[in-house]
Amino acid sequence: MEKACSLMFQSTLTHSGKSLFTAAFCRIYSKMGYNVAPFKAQNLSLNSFVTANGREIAVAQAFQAMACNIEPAEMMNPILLKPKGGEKVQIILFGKPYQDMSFPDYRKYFAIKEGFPRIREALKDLLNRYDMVIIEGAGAPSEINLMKSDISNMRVAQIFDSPVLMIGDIDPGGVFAGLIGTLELLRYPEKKLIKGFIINKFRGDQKILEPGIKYLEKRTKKRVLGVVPYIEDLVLPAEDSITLNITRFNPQKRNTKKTNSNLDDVRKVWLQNLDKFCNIVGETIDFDYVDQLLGV
Amino acid sequence: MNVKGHKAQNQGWDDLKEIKAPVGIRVDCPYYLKYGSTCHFEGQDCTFCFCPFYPCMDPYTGGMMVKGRRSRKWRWSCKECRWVHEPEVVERILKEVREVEGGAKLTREELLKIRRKILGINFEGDNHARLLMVVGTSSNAGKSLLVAALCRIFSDAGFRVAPFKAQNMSLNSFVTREGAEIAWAQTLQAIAAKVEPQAEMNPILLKPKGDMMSQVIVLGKPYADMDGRSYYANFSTGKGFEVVKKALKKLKEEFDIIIIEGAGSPAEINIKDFDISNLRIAVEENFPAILVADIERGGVFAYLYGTLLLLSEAEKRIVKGAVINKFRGNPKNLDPGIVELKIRTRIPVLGIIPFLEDLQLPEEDSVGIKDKGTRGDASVVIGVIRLPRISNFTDFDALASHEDVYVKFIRSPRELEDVSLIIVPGTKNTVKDLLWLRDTDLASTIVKMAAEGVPVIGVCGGYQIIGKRIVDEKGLEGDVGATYEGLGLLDVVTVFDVYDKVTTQVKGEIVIDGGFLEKRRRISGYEIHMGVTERGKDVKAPFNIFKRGKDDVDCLEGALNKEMTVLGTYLHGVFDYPGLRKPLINYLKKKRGEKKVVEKFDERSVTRREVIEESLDRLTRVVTEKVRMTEIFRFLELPFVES
Repeated sequence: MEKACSLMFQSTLTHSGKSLFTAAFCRIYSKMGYNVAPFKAQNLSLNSFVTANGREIAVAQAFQAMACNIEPAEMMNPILLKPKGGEKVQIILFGKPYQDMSFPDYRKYFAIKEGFPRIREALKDLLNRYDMVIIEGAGAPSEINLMKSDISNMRVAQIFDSPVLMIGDIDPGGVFAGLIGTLELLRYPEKKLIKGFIINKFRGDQKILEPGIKYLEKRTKKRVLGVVPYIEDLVLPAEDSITLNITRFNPQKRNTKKTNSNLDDVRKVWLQNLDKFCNIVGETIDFDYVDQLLGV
Repeated sequence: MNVKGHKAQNQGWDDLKEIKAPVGIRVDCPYYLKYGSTCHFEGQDCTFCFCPFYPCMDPYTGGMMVKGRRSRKWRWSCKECRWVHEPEVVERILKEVREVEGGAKLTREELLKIRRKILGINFEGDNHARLLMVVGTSSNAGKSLLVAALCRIFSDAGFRVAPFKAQNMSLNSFVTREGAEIAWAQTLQAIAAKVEPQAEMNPILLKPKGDMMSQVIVLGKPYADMDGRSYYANFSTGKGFEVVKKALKKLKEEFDIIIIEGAGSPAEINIKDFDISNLRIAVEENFPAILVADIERGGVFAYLYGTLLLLSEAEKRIVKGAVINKFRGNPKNLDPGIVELKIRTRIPVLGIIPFLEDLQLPEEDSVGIKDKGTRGDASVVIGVIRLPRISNFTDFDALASHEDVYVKFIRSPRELEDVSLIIVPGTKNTVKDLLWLRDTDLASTIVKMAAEGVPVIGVCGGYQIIGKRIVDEKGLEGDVGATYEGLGLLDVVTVFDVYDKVTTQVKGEIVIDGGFLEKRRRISGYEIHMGVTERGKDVKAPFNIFKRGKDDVDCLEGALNKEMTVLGTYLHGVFDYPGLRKPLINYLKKKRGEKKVVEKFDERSVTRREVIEESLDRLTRVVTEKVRMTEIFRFLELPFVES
C-alpha cells in the first residue's frame, strides 16, 4: 500500500487543544483544495451528534467534518464511549450502540481484541476515500499504567506510520517537563513517529520562552513548530464535562430540542471562530515543515 | 499525655528567667502520679511541669511521633522521657537560662541550644528547625493545599509550624496585623498552622497589573513596579534572593517546622537561572522536597518523569518522593505506572490524594475563578463582575456559603439578566478596568439596572469605579495623566496623587439603618489600595471605624447613596463576618418575595473562618490517611513508631 497522507495530533494533557488543532488543520487543507477528513479512534464523551444516516459520533468529530465541508460519518469516530456513571460505559461502535461494559472489562477484553481491528478498518476506509486524514489522539499517550490497552494514540499512529505532532499546553506551566517526560516514556518505534512539538495557550513575552525551546530542540532533536497564543472567548463545542471555559456552550442546553435554523446559526458561529483560530495558527505554525511531513 | 485541665499545659514559658530555684516535688499536684498523667516517676522535680523544650524533636531522650488510636492524628509524644524532671537537670537548665543574654523570652533556637548543651549533643550545624519543600509539576497542582494540610498535621502534633513561599504571584492578598500585605495562600496556611500570619511567610509578592507589569511587594510593603524581564534580570537572583533567605532565617529561629511551597514548576528551563522560589534554596540549605502532580488532566507520569529529568543532579537528590493529587477512580489502576516511575527514577509515590469536591478554601489565582454556591430556581443570584484584572475575588466566597445563594462571575451584559445584586470587585488597575467595562457595555447595563433599583456594591477598586470621577493626573493608574468619568452611581471622587498604598486591618460598625444595612452590626476587614476617595453631599458614610491596625481611631468609611441601594467600601473580607452579609442576604431574599423567611440573625453564626476550618479539617484528614506520613517523618529525621 502506498504511504498514507495523514497527520496526527497528540497532547501531553487533555484539553490542550487537540480537537481544535485537528479542526484547524482540516479547515486549512480543505480550503487549499484537498479532500480532508478528521479521525479519532475512540472518544470518551457524552456530547454526541447524529449523522445523516442516523449514526452517533462525538460532537468534536462532527465539528471537524463541518470544518472540512463534508458530511460527518461514523467512520470518523468508530468507537464512542459514553460514561454511564460508576465504572460503566456504553460502547457505541460505528455509530450504533454495541454493548455496556465496565471500564476494566473494556480495557481487558474489548479494546485490543475487538476494538482495534475496527479502528484500523475505519482509518483504512477514510484513507481510501480522502486525500488526507487528520487524526486526533485521546488524552495523553504517556499513561504508562494504561499503555497496554491504549488504542487511540500511538497504536493508531503506527498503523500507517502517521507523523505525530505533540501539543503541550503551557497554561498550567511545566510544559517542557510534560513534553520531555511524554517523549521519554514512549517506546522506541513510537518516539520516532513524533515529528515535532507545538506549544499552545501561551501568554506573555515570547522572548522569555526562547532558551527553553532551544534546550528542548537540542535535547530531543525534534522541532518546535510554533508557539500559539492563548485565545480567550473562543466559542467552540465543549467536548466533555470538564469544561474549562465558562463561555463555551452549555452541553445541557445544546441537548435540548432545537430548530434547524438555530443549529445552523450555532455552526456559523463555530466556523467563524474556527477561522479566527486558523488565521492565528497560520501565522504561528511552520507550515512548510507540515507540508513536508504530509508529503504535499 | 493529654491531661485535661492541667494548668501548666501549653502555658508556654515566657518567664523562664524569673524562676529562681527548683521547686522540687509537688505532691499536692492533683495529677502527681495519677494513672495516665504526664508525671513520670517518684522523686521527680516539678519545676518544669510542662517541658519548655516541647517538642524537642530529638530522639535522644525517648521522644517520638505516635499516632493516636482514637483521634487518628499524629503527635509528638514524650512518654519515655524523664529528663526534664531530673533534679540535677532542672538546676542545670536554670543556670544556663540565666546565662543567656537579652530579654526574658528565649527564642526556640536558644532554648534548644541549651538543651543540646546540657545533653552534650553536638548537633550538626546546630540547626533546630526542620524544613520541607513542596514543589509541583505545574501550577494549580495542589501545592498550596498540601502545604496547608501538612501545616495542620504538624501543628496538631504539637509543633510550632510556619508556612513559607519565597515568591508568590497572586492578586488575592491579605493584610497582617502589622499591616503587611501577603498572599492569601500563605494566610490560609498560617491559619492551618494555627499561627499569626506574618510578612516573612511570603517575603515577595508579585501583583500583576496588566501589560506584563507587576507590582513587587517586599516584606509586605510596595517596593517597585517591574516587568518580567527586568524583575528577572535586576531583582530576583540578587536582592530578591537575599530577602528570601533572610526571611527564612527569621522563621527558623521561631518555629520548629517550616513547610515551604514552591512556585509553578521547578522545571521551567527557560527561566531556571532566575528561579528563586523553587529548589534553589532547598539545595543551598540541604533540606528535602516532595513533588506534587495533578492527575486531573492526565499525563501525570509524563509530568513527574519529565520534571525529574530536567532537574540538576543536586536538585534530584533532595526530591524524596511524589504525591499524586486530584485522583478520581480506583487507585489500584495507577499501580503499574507507580512501579515504572520508581524503577526509572527511584522516587516513590508517597500517596494518592482523591479529588475533593466542594472544599471551601480560597483560590490562589484567577485561573481558579469558578461560579460558586447552590443553583436552584429559588436561589438568589449575585453577579460579580469578572474584571480582567480582578483582585481579591475570594471576598465573595462567604456569600456563596449560604443556602440558595449563587455567586456567578459576569463577563457580558447578557449574563446580568437574572442577577439580584451586582458586585463590582477589587482590581489591580482601576482605570484600565473602568475602560474595559465601557468597552463591553457592562458599564451602561450596570447603570441601567441600578436605576431600576437593583442593589450595587463596589469593593475597593470597584468602589472607585462606581464613583463619579477618578482623578489620575500623574498617570499612576492609567498610561497617561487624565481624569476619568466613573459610573456615577455614588457621589464620590477618587484621587490618585502619590505612589503610596494603604494596607491595614480595620474594625468598626454599621451606623445606618435601612436598605440592606442594620445599625450597630459589627464589621471588620482589611484595606489594600492606592488613591483617596472623598464623599460628596449626596452620599452618607455607612461605617464607623474604631480600630485601624493597632490604633484606636474614630472615622467614617465607605459611601451609601440616598436610596440606600448602592454601597461602596474599601473593606476586603467584609462579607466574611455576618454583620453585613446576613442582613444583605435576608434583604435580597425578601426582595425576591420569598416567604420562607429567612435566616435569623445571630452574631455567632458561621463566619467564613469556620467554613475554612471545616474544609481544612477534611483536607487534613484525607491527607493523613492517604499520604504515607511516616515517610515524610523519615525525610525530616523525626523518630516515629508505626501504629
